[in-house]
Amino acid sequence: MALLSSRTIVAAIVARLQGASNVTTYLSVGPTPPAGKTCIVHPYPGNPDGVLGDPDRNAAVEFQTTCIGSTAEQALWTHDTIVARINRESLSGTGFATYPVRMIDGSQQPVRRDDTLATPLYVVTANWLATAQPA
Amino acid sequence: MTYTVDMVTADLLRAAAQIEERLAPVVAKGASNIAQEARDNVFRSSQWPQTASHNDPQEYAARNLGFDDRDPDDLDVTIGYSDDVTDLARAVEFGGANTSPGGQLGTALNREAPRFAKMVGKVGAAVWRS
Repeated sequence: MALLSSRTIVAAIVARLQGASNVTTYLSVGPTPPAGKTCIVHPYPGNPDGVLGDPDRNAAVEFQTTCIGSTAEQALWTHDTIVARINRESLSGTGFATYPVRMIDGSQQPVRRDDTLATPLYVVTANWLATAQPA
Repeated sequence: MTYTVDMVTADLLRAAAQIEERLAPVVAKGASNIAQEARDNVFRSSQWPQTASHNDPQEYAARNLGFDDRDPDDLDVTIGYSDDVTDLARAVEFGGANTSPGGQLGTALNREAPRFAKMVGKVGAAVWRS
């Protein structure tokens, strides 16, 4: 059986986050120029996962959320908004449903100022795991 | 000869006494592999443009990536960037507002995990049979 599509799983994650009010979510590439109150989802391609008898049944897709704010507080607020939207939520799409999406323990990074930009922005990142199984 | 519960218990106790010492080099080698691969990946990554006129931050981060096996007799190792480059390491691993995450440590860890598990299994079997 074909592996589950990472693309459709990632699309479901982004769609869920795009429903958050006052935060705009992007996939992989943010707006130009970068702006506050945005979240960028950076997905990994995903690994086959499953049970002993069917080790490739599921797809474990890890992804990072980079929450951006024009102040440190706004970056944290953006992160909180995203967490409230997706933490422990089960997502579904054509042919798959995920276990509750969870933040990977210890993956949250402290708020950090990005000085590579003309106007510094603040970012908070966290890594997540969405494990999808065929529906 | 019948393999009695007492004999199983004796074998288990003997294996338990040996296993930590036998696994310590496996853990150290695994940590070394992860650090080496992550270092290579950071070094080669095209995450940031490389310019001849500036000190390359990626190269600096890569040179500060390693592992620390403080007590060679126990099974604890720490793999990561040195504390001197915390901010740079975060930027390299997790990206910023305009750069994508490198994630090289996690990638190296995921690639080493199955090899490590296989070796732990081999050592366990060898200790049990010895």
